[in-house]
Amino acid sequence: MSFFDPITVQRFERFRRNRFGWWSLLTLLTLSLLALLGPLLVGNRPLVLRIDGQTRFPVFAGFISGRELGLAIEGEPNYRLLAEELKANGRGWLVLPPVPFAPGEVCEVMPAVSRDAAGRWRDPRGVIAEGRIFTLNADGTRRQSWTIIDGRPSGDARLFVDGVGLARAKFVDGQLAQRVPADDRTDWVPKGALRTQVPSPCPPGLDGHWLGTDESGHDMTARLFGGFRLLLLSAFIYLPCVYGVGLLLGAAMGYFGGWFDMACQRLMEIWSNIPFLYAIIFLASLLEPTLSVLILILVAFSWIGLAQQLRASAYQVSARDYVTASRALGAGHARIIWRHILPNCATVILTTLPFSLHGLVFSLSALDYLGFGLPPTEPSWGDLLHQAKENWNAWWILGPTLFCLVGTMVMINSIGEALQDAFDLRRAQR
Amino acid sequence: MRDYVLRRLLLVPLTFVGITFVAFCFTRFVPGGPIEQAMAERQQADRKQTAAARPSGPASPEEMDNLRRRYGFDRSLPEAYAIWLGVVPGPADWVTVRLDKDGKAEAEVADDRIEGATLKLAVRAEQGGYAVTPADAKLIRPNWRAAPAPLPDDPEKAPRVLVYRQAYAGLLQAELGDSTTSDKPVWDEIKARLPISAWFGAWSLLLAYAISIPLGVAKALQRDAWFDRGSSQVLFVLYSIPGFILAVAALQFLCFQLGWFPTKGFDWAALTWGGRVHHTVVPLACEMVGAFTALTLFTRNGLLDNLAADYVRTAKAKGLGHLRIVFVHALRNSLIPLAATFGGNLGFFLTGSFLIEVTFNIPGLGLLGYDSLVHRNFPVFLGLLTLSSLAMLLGNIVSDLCVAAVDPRIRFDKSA
Repeated sequence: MSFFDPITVQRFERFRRNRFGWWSLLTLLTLSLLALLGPLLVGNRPLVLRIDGQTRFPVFAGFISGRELGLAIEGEPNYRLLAEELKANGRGWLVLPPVPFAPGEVCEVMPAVSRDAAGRWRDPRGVIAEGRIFTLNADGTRRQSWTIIDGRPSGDARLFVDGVGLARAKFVDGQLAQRVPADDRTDWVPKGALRTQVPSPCPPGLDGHWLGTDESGHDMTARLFGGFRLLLLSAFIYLPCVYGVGLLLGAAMGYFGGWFDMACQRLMEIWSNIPFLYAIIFLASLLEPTLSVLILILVAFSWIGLAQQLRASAYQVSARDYVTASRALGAGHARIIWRHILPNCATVILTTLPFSLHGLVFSLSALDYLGFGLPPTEPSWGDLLHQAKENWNAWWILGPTLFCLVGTMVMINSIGEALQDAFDLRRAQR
Repeated sequence: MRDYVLRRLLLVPLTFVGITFVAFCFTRFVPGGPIEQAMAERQQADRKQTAAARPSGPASPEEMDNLRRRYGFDRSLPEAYAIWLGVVPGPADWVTVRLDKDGKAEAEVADDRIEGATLKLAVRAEQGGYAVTPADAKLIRPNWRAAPAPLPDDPEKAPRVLVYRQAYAGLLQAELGDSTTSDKPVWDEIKARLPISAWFGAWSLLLAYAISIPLGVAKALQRDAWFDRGSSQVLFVLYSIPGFILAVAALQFLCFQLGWFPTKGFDWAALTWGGRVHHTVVPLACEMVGAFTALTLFTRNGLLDNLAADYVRTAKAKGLGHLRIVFVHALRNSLIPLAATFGGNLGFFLTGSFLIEVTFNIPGLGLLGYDSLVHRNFPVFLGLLTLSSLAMLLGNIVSDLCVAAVDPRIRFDKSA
């Protein structure tokens, strides 16, 4: 049973011959490895932060308060804003992950504004018809803000210190008309790092959101990445559980047979006839839907098909002459199961693995799509699909989500196809 | 054959009872059930009304007791299930009354014999029980009984009595109870939605087989030609995408962006035939894509298998025409695996389109089931589950019979 016996090598070669399946496997493995990097790739804490001669690694250190870094804020600084501030005042530098947003972070999309030739304020999408422009503190709170109508300051402008309004001004047609209090000496000419705010869901390309944001203001790239990580985590819990249960019961049923087999068959018939999604929705509403609970429910309903397959293969093997022979030689149940039943089940396990994974992605997405899955704070592709349906103008939600879901599912299935070819399960059809 | 069918049919009730019992247990233990909901609704109604109009506060013990009785929560699980199934008589109609000082009371109920009429009943306490007689002595209504119905912490002294009609009123009597959201009988709710689900089910069944079998044959005949390879790629991608994902994409592109198809408003009665078809195209396509691709590949691979078989070579050697070999000899055998899945379509009529119906807001049985879960409408949920599990169980038998019909080698009589 060496791992590199000729049959294994031959199967591997056959697997590689299915180019699409082989490349799908490589792609998915690469993506999974990237996903394991997690916050190093996608996150809002810098990999390295150099400030006032001190070097820190917030991505590993976790929460660092602004005070500790010598900033005038209590909470955690918004590192994306801090980066610009550090660049401006030369106190240091920082390196953010390639995607500088966390999957769970609710972002305010605040692109920088500029002035066009006529002196009107505009954001990357065009002249601001009605909105606000403002400067920010390092923790993301407003410092000074102006109301803009038709590209010019109009109406209210405010100055905040520690979130408290300190002074106000009134603009009429771009000109300062009134100060409150009257002896206020603030400079009311908009300057500095001025930004405006775009409501969520915001289209791609603004403020570093390559793929835009979803309806609650999560960065789409980060959200998709988080969703993939979550799927990966679910697979790591789900597959061992479902194969554990399926293997145990299926092999036992097939090997021992008799009344045990009969009773289990009836129970499985009942259990498998309960409409899958109904039951899951039902149970998910009964229990607090955390990831582990959802996966346990999924396991409870999806081991049946596997057990049936494993039972069949165990049944076939246990009827073979060599099993009878080894029993005659005095081999115990444990030895027969270990030497003869399990190696045969290994084929079934390996070739059904991609399809189980496909089912898992389907079930989790469908549940989240219906709103019976994970809480909405968790990133999930199904939830994004739901948002895409609700916000039909937001093509940037639908497009990438569809791409990820379809791509993943097609790749998983093609790995499955390639494995089946490799194990020659469909030789007759070739 | 007959013995086999009989044996299979005998197992149906057993499995059916198992399924419905498990589902019934679910409904008993899920929080937010009808009682909690009725209480929450009452509290909301109280808040809306002025304080003078109605005393606010939680539901009174009396109301609570009525609710518990209405949904069968006053009984043990097996008893409630037996009543729901209709093998044990339960209180079909009932009211509660208070006895006066002489141990007498009068109850007014809906007459069980005359449609729409009311019936006055006289209740009187007797030794060891209560006697219930119609106030009008000419009438004979033997099934009305009474039982003590005490309340915990009852503020009133007068004994509370439940007057009820003892009757079998469960599944076996084709009574599924009333929907908790609309108060209409569950059967009426289901009947109102059935045409829409059947419409979709029938079309998808028809189209899936009508397209996929010829397509599969064409692919097999042009094996490895560009047509076969190209369509295989397309089918493989479609096969990998669940229908509801396709549905969201189609809804976005075809319905919203391009405006070719309506996005909502499927109202069977208000639409002309043209409108119905117009509303049906996109959801139907999404609904059948999974089954359709699987069927096509089944047909293709099955036909290729058979064309490579010895008996085809023999037929060729005997000089039979190519078409005859394909369509008469090989095709029939390659339809055997298709026949094995045929019965599944019965269940598909009822539950298969659940995600699609929610996406396109089509008021079929799938949406009804979804709504019943969201609103914890247990009678409707159980009614639908009954239907779909029956359909599935019968569908399995139908599948086996179909296999037997197309495959003369299969004999169920032999000890299996």
